[in-house]
Amino acid sequence: MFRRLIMAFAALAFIGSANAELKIEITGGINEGHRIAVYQFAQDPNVKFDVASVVAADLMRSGKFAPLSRNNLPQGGVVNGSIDVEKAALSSAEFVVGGIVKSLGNNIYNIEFQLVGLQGANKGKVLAHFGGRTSLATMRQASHRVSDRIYEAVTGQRGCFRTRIAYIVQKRNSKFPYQLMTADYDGYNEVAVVKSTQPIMTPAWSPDGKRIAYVSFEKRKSAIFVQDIVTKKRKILAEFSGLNSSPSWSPDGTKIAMTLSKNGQPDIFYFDLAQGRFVQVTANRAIDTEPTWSADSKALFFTSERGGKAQIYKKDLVSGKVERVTYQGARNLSAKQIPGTNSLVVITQVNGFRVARVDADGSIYMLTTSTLDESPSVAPNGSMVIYSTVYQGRKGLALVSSDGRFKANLPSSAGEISSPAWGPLLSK
Amino acid sequence: MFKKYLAMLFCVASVFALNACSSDADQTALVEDGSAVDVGLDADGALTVGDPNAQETFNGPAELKENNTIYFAYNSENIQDQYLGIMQSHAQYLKSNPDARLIVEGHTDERGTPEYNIALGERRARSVARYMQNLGVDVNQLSIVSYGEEKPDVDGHNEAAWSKNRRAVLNY
Repeated sequence: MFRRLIMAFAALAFIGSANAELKIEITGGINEGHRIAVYQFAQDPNVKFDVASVVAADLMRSGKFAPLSRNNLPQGGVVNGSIDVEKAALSSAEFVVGGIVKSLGNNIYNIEFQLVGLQGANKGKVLAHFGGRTSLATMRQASHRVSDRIYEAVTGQRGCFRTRIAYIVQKRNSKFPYQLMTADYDGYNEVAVVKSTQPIMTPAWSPDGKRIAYVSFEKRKSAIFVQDIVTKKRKILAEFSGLNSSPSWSPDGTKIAMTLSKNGQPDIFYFDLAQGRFVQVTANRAIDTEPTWSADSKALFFTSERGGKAQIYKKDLVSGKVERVTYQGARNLSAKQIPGTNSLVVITQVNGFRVARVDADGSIYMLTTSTLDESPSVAPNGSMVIYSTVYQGRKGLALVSSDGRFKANLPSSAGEISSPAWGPLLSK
Repeated sequence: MFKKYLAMLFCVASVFALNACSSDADQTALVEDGSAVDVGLDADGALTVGDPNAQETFNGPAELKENNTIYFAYNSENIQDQYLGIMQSHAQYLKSNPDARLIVEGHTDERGTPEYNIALGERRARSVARYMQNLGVDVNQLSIVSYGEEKPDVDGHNEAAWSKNRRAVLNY
């Protein structure tokens, strides 16, 4: 186990040598996924970028795969992109990946790969293959696309290696210490969206991935803004007296839920984008906050203290009925539905604040063992949760698979990072 | 780039003028950003917000400067007796200076979620404002804002830092 971990680090260190702000340190579950042999692609010498190492890192991070160390792969398993099943099978992997990157001239490259089974009935079968054109600049995206195909062929779920995340970086000594960033899910291609002298909170993606709603304190009070991430233009959504917090975009794109305390206590509202009006959802003397949407956009989960301590409730917007969802744990906060399931990810208070999963029958599973977890956000295919936690004395991002088996920290080289929000699946 | 920046500033300024004509205090519902806050574009294309040279200072009377913070127990908005004196001196100042405006800032430690903590911070600020009202301060002189866990006074991830961060700050 330990030896494999070291090798994984060596493989990842190679990838991480570019200018990514987020690195990855696997802290659990590395051996538990599908064993897969990802051979180095036969690449045109102009392509210095190592496609296979990006693919292996993607698959490992998903928690569903255990890529074998490249140094341990049997010689001759893949030669010039062609797979020799018998030789590759000596690795004891379930699957083998081989590929080739050819120059077509004018900075156009053709990238091709095959995923072949090595065990049982799948032995020798081509389970996925793909060929497409790319440039040096888009080679990383093309590699993620290879990962997406492999992931879907093996798990039956869509891969989400071409998604973006948004998060807040706090750089103490910067002119603008509070910065809202977006990046590829693995930390590459980071783009600054807003930099402010005052705190920014709770970035929330529009389902088309073009806009982000967030809370800003730039006017010495809270206000919710909606900003186009490309043009950087923005509008104010809410600046009522009191709290304007916790924006959340409905999956169908028609509404933005939020918490407002203009009536004296924090209640849940949503703004109907088509009708241009606010609708009050809860009216309760206790704190109601952290609204998030059910997958069908017809119900809101929220945190409420109406029962004494904070627990998760659900309001059906059609029937108007409210039901309590969580019962176990001193407090439960920050519910997010796991796409494709009836389970929720929450922050639960048990010896600190931890990421947990609440299933439809009400049972709760701890996903982490840390104590200062917050802001969980689920990948659009439901496989992983990104959250913020304190690790080695600093606030940073971390990943855990929805089954709790795979864990990794993403320590940052620049400031403290919080409030991760996983963006939508866009490209096919 | 510079041209774009100017155009943006102009846009912000003109929209601000429009909003200034409106009398509704609650500006809402996807209106253009009419903020009076400095807005620009950084070299990397990011929108910049705020004046980096503005100092965060105590804007009240000098004699109350070192005497403007009320600390709270974990997950509580109850004001402990030892802080009543601080509130009495601010109440006295506000009553003798009817033009003075107090902002009560509520803060929490980092435990729990940011969105829950901002609600808790508001409860602390409200608790202090309510007490000031009971001391006879005009409600029009009082406003509250919650920063939740976003502006800790002391860095650190332990009780020593947390106890200093669970606070309400009286500012003007």
